[in-house]
Amino acid sequence: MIKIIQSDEEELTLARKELAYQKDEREKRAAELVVANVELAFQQAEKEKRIEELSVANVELLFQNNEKEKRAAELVIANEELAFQNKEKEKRAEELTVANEKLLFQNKEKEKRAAELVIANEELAFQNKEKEKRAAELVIADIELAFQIKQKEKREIANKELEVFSNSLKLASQYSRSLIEASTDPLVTISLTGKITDVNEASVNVTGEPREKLIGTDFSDYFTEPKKAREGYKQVFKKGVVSDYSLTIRHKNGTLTDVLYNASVYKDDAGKVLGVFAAARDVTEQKILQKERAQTLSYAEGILGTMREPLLILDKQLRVKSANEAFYRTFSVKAKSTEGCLVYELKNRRWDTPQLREALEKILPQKSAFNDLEITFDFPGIGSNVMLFNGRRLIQSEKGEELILLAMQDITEQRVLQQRNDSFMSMASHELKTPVTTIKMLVQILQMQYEKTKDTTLVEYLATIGKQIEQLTKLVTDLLDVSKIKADKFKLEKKTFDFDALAKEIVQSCQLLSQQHTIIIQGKTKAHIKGDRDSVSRVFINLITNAIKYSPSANTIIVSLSQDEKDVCVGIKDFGIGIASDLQEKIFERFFQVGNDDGRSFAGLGIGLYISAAIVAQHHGRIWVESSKGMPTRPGDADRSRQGSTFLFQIPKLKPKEKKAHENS
Amino acid sequence: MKTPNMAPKKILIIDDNEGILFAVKKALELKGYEAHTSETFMGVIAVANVAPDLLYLDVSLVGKDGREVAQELKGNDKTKHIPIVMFTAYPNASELAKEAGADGFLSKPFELELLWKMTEKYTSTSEKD
Repeated sequence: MIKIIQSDEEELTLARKELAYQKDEREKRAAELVVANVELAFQQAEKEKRIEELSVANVELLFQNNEKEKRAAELVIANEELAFQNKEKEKRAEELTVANEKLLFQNKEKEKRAAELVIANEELAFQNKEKEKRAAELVIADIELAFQIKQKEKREIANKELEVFSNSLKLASQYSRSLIEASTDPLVTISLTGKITDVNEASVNVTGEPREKLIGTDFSDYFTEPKKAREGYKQVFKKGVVSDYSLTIRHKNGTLTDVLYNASVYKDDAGKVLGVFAAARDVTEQKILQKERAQTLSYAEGILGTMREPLLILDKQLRVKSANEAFYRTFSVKAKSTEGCLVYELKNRRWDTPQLREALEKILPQKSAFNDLEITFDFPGIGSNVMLFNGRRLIQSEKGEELILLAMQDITEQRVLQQRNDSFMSMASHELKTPVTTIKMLVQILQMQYEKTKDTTLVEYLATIGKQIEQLTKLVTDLLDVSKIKADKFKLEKKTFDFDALAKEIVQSCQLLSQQHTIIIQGKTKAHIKGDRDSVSRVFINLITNAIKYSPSANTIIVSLSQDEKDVCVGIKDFGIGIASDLQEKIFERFFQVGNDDGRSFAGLGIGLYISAAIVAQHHGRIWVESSKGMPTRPGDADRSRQGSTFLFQIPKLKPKEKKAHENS
Repeated sequence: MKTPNMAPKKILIIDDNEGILFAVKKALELKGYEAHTSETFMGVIAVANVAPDLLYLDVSLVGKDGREVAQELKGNDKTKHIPIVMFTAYPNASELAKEAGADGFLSKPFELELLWKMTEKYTSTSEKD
């Protein structure tokens, strides 16, 4: 509307301007007309002047008339134009009025619209407020929505969980069912009336009855003692639970299975008892094991009981756990006063010695053991007691408990006897020496006196007595030596001597003992040794006399001498009865003798080799025998006469430096 | 030893075994010694009274240890010059004899020759005194 108004005004202005222009033009033309009149007057004047020029001027005039007509025509057009424009102007003015009226109307309308706008604005403000309210409500609604979404999500999760739970419940149910079925123990549920409501495969197996037959029947029907079975489940109903209730299930085929029942009631949600769930454990094997264990235990107890040595079993704290019969008998005590006591408290604390404490207290930490721990307990005014203790760690496998086994032996009497025996040997040999000395001297006196006479019989008798006395002397000396060895008092006096010279000397003197045998020396040691010459001589003599004694049908004895880097080596070889391989070590034991084939022993006490071995040992040497009974001593040696034994011994020789030092001294 | 113009050497033998006493006495008499014997030790005075040139003394005597006898004799001025040779059947004869203050020892059973050598050795020493 405003735009329209504007364009009208513009049009008006333009019309006005046009009008003004046309006025100006009219004035201009009027002025020009004046000028033209002047010009005409001038030209009239001129016409006269220009008569001649009149034609030209006429032409001119003509022309100008034409022009003038043209101009007049133009003027007419311009006037028409002007009239038209005036008309137009009027039209425009009218239009303007209309436009003004219209504008007015429009202004009025505008005001109306403004008023309406204010109202509209108020309305808008109100609406804005409403809008804000709505926005706030919207926020709340959003929150509510979010909450509801969350609730929904939660519900969904819960639903899902419920689903999962329901699934797992299903699985669990399946799982527990398979567990129940997989169990090798017979499982059963029993109703309040004692009827079987459910069983597993194991129950079917142990009874031999199919599931369908078992369910609905009396639980007690399947036991050797139905009454006891009934009492059992009644107890469960009464107490809620029963454990290790012993029953025996009877199989359809008669097989019995010893079981231990564990049972408990099961209830519904409201806590109402629905029935009993009972699980049986097959203890047949356990019972067998128990029986075996009882047998083993009784076996062990039997051994302990029959043992003659007192024995204690101590716990970790060294308290007596138990003792055997021998212990109570030996120490005249009762189990009551012994069990639970510290080992040191026993025997009025007489056993509380540092030695025993040390030995016992390291058994368990060091997992060690001790044997033959000899402790002498001195009892003032009474004497002393010698005890041997053996201790070792013992693990009771069932509980894994560490125990100590302490065995003891009172060897007081044994010691006294041993000492008495040793001193008897010493005394006896000593006492024997005196009469031997007397006889020997008197025989020698007699031999001296009768050598000059021609009484050969008497001389011969005396010579025999003399020989026997020599033998007796040797036996007595040997016996004394044995007692010395036993008492660990066998001492030697060591000096350096030429070994080959000694061997030669011995062989020469031993040759006198047998006319039947030829004793041959083979080889040389070319060495000196540091030792007891008399004792080493005895080893030689013992071995050579043995060789003579044990080869009664042979005629040769070979004494071979050699040496290696460290030792002198002697071999004394006979061609006699030989020694079986299982006896070759025993012959060096005290009082051991090798018999011949018809079981007859050779004369002697069987102490020669024992003493020889002791002498060689004192010289840090070695003695042994190589022999095979009834077999040739050398392979491929078919001559039976060459069977026999070779006794060998070696003794460390002097080192070259020591030998030189000895020679210089 | 029996030598011309000289009294025979006097030997006293104390041993609780009469066999030894007899044999040793006979053996020494064979060589011309004057042998006296006693089964028991009668005391220092008794020995001093016999005044032997040599005393053979057994280690074990009835009721008394030969070593104590030797010590007693060697501790007394009247008898300490008398050489003592001990008879012993124990293995550590030399130690026992030395401990007791004896001059020598003879291990039982001994050779006749050794008895004669020993006797000669100690009686000739006493001769020099």
